[in-house]
Amino acid sequence: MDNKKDYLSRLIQLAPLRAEERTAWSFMLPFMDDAQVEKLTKILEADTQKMADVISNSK
Amino acid sequence: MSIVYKLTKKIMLLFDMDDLRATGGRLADATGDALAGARDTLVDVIDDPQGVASDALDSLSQNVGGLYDSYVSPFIPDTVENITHIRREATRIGLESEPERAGLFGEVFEMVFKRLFPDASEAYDVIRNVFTNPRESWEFENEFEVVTAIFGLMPESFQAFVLENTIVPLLRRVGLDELADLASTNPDEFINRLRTMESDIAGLYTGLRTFGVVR
Repeated sequence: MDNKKDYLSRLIQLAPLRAEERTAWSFMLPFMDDAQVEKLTKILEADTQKMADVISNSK
Repeated sequence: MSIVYKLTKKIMLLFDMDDLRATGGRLADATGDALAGARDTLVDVIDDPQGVASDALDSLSQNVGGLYDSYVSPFIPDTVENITHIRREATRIGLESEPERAGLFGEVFEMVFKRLFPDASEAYDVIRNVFTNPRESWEFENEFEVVTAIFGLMPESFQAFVLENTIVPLLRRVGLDELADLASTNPDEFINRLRTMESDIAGLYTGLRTFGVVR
């Protein structure tokens, strides 16, 4: 698995997704091309950043 | 700064092992270890903010016993409130980008499907004739296993979107209107039939191999 897919696989585990969606994306990851990997990475990075903000702003 | 770091830092503020040991010098090491275990459990919450928060708190209360009552319980109301808030926000954030993720999932699905079945119409004809023309059908066993596995894994929240936007148009394009209607009106039945096909083909392949028809 290349670095981008490896990074995305970690992001899939960290992002705010339901468990069933984590499994689905992990399964699909080997089939995804570069553009799709980049697109999903951007979506999940944005969501993970939002979660980071929520956590850092919590008590 | 990563989420893991931030949340670990917050948890460390609540459960600083050195402070606890110094302040409550009478505490046994075993109790300290139990607290460390509970802290690890809480750290796990970070990786799955939607999931195990309440379990982690239960585990915490069970593991630390008296220590929990003396040192931890004053913080618990805030902690519970925080974790509930974090879980709620995780759901909200996930839902916001769900249409975009569903669209991408459909795109990936279509790509996989086309790669496995460059000529979908021919493939379906073979599948339909699985019992009358087995020598052609078993060749698709592996492909169908992948397709049915993807259907099986597809999150329910994506199912309607992917069927309507990817599968139904694909089936209509190759002239399989009957299957397209089924996928459109009764997605569960459509998926069940796909799984049955896969199971039939796998069984057929095993049979053919047993009798030496295929290797």
